Amino acid sequence: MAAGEPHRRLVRTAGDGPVSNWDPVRTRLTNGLTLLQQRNAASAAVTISLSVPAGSAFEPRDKAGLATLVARGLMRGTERRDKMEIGEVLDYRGAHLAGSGGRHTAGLVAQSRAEDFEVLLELLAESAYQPVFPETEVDKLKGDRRTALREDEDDPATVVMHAFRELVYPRSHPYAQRIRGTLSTVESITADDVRQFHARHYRAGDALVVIVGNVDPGLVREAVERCLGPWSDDPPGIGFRAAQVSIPDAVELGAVTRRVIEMPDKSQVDIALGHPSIRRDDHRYYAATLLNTVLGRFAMGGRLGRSVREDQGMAYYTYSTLQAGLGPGPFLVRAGLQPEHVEPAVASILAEIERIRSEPVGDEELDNAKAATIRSLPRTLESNEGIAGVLQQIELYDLGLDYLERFEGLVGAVDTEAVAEAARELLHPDAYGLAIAGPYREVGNT
Amino acid sequence: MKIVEGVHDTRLPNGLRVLVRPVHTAPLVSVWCWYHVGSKHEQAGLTGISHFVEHMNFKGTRNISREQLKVWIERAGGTWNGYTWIDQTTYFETLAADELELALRIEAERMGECLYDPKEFESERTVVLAELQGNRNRPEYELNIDVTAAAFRMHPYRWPTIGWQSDLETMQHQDLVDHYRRYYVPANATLVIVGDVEADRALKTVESLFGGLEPGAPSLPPAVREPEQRAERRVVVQRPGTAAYLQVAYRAPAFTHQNFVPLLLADAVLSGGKGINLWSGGFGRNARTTAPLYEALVESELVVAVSSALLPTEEPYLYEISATLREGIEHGQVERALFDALARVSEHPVPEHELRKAKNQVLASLAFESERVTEIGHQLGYFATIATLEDLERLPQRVEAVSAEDVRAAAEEAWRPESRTVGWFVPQGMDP
Repeated sequence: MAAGEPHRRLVRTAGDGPVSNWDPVRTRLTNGLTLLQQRNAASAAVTISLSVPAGSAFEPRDKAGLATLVARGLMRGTERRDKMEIGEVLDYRGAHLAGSGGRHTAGLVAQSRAEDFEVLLELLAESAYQPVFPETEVDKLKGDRRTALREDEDDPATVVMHAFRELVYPRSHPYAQRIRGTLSTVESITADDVRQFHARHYRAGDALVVIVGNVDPGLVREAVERCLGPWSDDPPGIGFRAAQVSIPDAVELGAVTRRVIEMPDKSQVDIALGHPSIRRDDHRYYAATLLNTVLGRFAMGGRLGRSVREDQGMAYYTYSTLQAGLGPGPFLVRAGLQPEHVEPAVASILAEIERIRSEPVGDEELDNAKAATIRSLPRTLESNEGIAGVLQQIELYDLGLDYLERFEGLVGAVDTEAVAEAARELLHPDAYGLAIAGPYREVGNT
Repeated sequence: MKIVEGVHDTRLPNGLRVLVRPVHTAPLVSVWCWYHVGSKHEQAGLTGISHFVEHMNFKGTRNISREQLKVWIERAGGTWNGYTWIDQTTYFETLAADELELALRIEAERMGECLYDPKEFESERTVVLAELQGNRNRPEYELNIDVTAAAFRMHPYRWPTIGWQSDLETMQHQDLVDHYRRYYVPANATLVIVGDVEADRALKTVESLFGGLEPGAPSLPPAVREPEQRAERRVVVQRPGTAAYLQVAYRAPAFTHQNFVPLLLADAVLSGGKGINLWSGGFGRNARTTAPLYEALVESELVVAVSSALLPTEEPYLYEISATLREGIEHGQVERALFDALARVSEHPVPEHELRKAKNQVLASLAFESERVTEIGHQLGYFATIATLEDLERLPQRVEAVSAEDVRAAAEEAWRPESRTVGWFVPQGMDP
């Protein structure tokens, strides 16, 4: 296989020739907070991310949207500074600090010039553990969210994903939940709900801080100790990975389900077709990833792109995705289509899924997928954000700090038989959910 | 990192300009090929042809099939793409540095040897139309198209880069072939190489692959000049929708005009500094918390988001402000608050602290947006095509040299009521 260079050549330090600088260091503060740091001497900037197990999977169903509101509210005022004072510190330096949340984790990401590192860290720290969530700010956040939800209703790409998740996961499953909530759940959220969620889920002992950039490692440790050391360990946490919520299994679908959301005033139809798949720690993960690459990623949409977009010209975009997470995330195919192409495109997608299950993937096709997966790492590791993202994944999925050294071996070891087995076991062309949103009318509907 | 530092700037005998910038921070190279042709070079009836040609130029060449092109790049760990805009069209590959020759071979073939199979043309027409339909699913897109069309009466900046649907439906195969042959020539192109390469060796490879191509001729700017705008223009788009939007566009100076940098700082004062990289973006970002635009519109709970942009263009284009209204708020209210905020910047020189803040933001953005080889390659090619490398290099000094009075004067000149176009998107059922 031509793919893959030795890991040692993945990253280089500026001007030093082919020397690896992949040398992340993990430290645990006395309050239990986990710090991962990686110097990037080629950068003029620094990226800091702070994550806690406080995503939407932790919120009650009737308060859907709470976790993301909490994350967005972190910088709206702290015990030491109000929103405008925080803004002034950031704005004077051209720095950025933003809160956001996903299904598993939530937190803050900050970026500044390397020389502003300490000021930025101080601000991020107090936003993480000393936010006050003023009533007026919570009301404003809710108002923003209401408009955002109204915009979502008008966006076929968002509507189709909501419908898809509701089709393929049980109502009570965390992966069926709308992470931004609904108009009624958001309306019911109070400032007290926000404060309580924060108090319960933002714990020093469960937090992960990742710092990547051109900052001296000694200075990083000292500054983190100073800014985040005082974060109380009461109640104590149990660690970023251990505190993650347990995501239940999904239920096998057993049949085809289909839902059309008619949006007659739109111009293009969005579709999502698929079903729940595997967890990140499934032994078939690398085979499934390569399978997905062949089917719907490699060279612009893989086999699907070739068939639906290139050969038949039916879509502006089509691709597949495998979102293996702490729980059984979905495998799904997305496409943007003109209304008259919906049925033939769905037929083509199913035919490609059927074909990859019945005919083995060829050696060359698999080699291509492996090469693309392994050799694209230097691009990911070129930026501070890219490195920080990899480190966060390593911690979340317990992959080990030597993961990148093992990565080529893990991907390289997958053979065509393992991919064929993954295709047979993990793709279900006779039991999937299909959501369609846009100017499309189901045949038979009047 | 200074973008222009260490650039080897060469022109081949056939007119192809080649910029090589060694950067040894990662085992990567980014190759960008820029053509000085965009939607402003198009004629009525053929709008969108530059973008359509861009699509066709991914469909295979004499020696590299459509499939091989993507397979080879991605096998090399690479990413690739292209875009068409008002002044230019570009293609790039960022991949393992030892695959530089592959990227150059692809770009050389793209310049001279694209196939233009008639069957592929018809199938790609559907794809381009699907892209247009996808855009039209978004109300902000519809509003932007109508505001831009109203802001220009004569200049081809008025039509959308993707083209009008009627033109895309009627365009002929030969139209595309003619457009390709006219503009995809060395004399109208700039090739940029940034990454872990040795300049002399890279240049030799370029010479061997591109040296034999016929020179062709550089593109000509549009003959028409946009007449001065002498009265405010208004557009109301009423369509089904769930949220209301406002967009205001002022006529703005070209990148090389002396007022561009002062206006860039006026924008930074008004809503936050953004830099000038269209590829890495930052233009859609919400106004900064301490900026007057945030205070006037977001803090006052009139809108949920507001952003502004002064884009670097070859000819005078637009300064645009876009807002998403809160439920129950009327467009007129937002407009009044917006115009008051603009007046705060254009009527009095900004305090020294605010000016310093604006400069810090712009300078930090310039640094953030040129960290990766792909971004550096983009900036070198973009500005070599619409201006000069000196203009790009001098930008930080020009930012530093701007005074509070320069900012005020540039804002006053640009933000005149008679040079603006105001657009409302009103969801049907809601009275304007």
